[in-house]
Amino acid sequence: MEHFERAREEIAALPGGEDVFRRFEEHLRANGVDLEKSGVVLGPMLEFDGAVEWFRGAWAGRRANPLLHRRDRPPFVIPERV
Amino acid sequence: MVAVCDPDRSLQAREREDAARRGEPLLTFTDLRELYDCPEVDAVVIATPNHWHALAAIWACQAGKDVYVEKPVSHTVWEGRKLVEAAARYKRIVMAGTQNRSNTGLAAAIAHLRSGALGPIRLVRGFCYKRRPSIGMVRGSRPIPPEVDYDLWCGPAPKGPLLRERLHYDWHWVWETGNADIGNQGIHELDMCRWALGDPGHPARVLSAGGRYVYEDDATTPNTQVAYFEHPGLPPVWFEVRGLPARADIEAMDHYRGVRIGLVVECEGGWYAGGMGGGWTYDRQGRRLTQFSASGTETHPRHFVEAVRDRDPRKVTAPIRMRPSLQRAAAPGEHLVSSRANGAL
Repeated sequence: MEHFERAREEIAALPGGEDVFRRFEEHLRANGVDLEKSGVVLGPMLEFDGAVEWFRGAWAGRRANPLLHRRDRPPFVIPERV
Repeated sequence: MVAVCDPDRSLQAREREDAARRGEPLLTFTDLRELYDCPEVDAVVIATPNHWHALAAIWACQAGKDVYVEKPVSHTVWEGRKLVEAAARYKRIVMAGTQNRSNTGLAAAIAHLRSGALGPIRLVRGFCYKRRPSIGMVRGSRPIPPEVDYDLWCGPAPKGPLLRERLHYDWHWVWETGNADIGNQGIHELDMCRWALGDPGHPARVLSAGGRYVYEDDATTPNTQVAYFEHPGLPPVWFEVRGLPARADIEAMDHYRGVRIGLVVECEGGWYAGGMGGGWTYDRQGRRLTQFSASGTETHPRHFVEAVRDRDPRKVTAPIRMRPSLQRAAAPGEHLVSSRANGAL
């Protein structure tokens, strides 16, 4: 959980992001959410290599790429070669 | 319809009764592998929870059945790729349930925007402002309904205790089986955003932020989220999910330029606001220019039947190849958000 100010900074730095975060914040405050207390779960900017369908960069290895796959429960397993 | 399969036997019974009222015979199965062995079945419609979509579709391809699979076509990126491979290897017709791809009014709107009628596209916004109440909080595990084969219901997902009140539907809001609303209702609108961009491949950069606000319940997915998608050389896509109302004291949902569930395409000379129910283009002063009605969505299943009958994949209006791209690439950022919220990472 990140402080909402940090989420604001990161999102506002993206094209169109300032308006998106302002409305996100207004919406939550209208629902009685104390953002200073609740915070925002902020994911990192993930870089995706579409050619191999794999993340690259700092977050790729341990965190992002494992989420591209699921360990199926036998015998309900999708094989590597279908 | 030849047969239905459901691990919930009470739902089989309901379908049998409906078929009997129509005077039609109906086979019923609990295990879809038995249904796939059935030679009377040519094609299947997969409307399981998300964690079953890809495996059920791959098994169907391997059994020589054609497939209409509900969105999202897969629960993870990798298994989506495996389904694409299976469809090619077994030469099956496989179509996604993103029925807006058969919406001729939306197709006309997107063609109009892409022709440059409002100038270059600058930004694409997708919206899923759909009221989602709390799913409640149970104390300890709940009993599995006796009519449900829980082992088959769980399938490839972990077979853990039922830690929510309702087995059915609320699986959307638990990561082991669902994909949050961005990967549920949001798939339709993300697909529209991608369509508006000209169906590019995967995004090169994605970011997601949000949380599960107001509720303390058994769900693990966010009910409020913003997500950013960047394709090289193309306008950015912002996607917004809101499950909470516009204000704490009302039930009505927010909207953006009149859109609650749909998309807004911002162009240099104005914008389009609409979705599956139709929409309008506007000039920069907000004056209405052209209306695009909604039509054709109901023909989506028919296109699948025609493609199956004619063995012609060109008649598939929602092919699965790259269908998972923007949608599924959304999920990793999404998963990361949730996992961090759970302290799992």
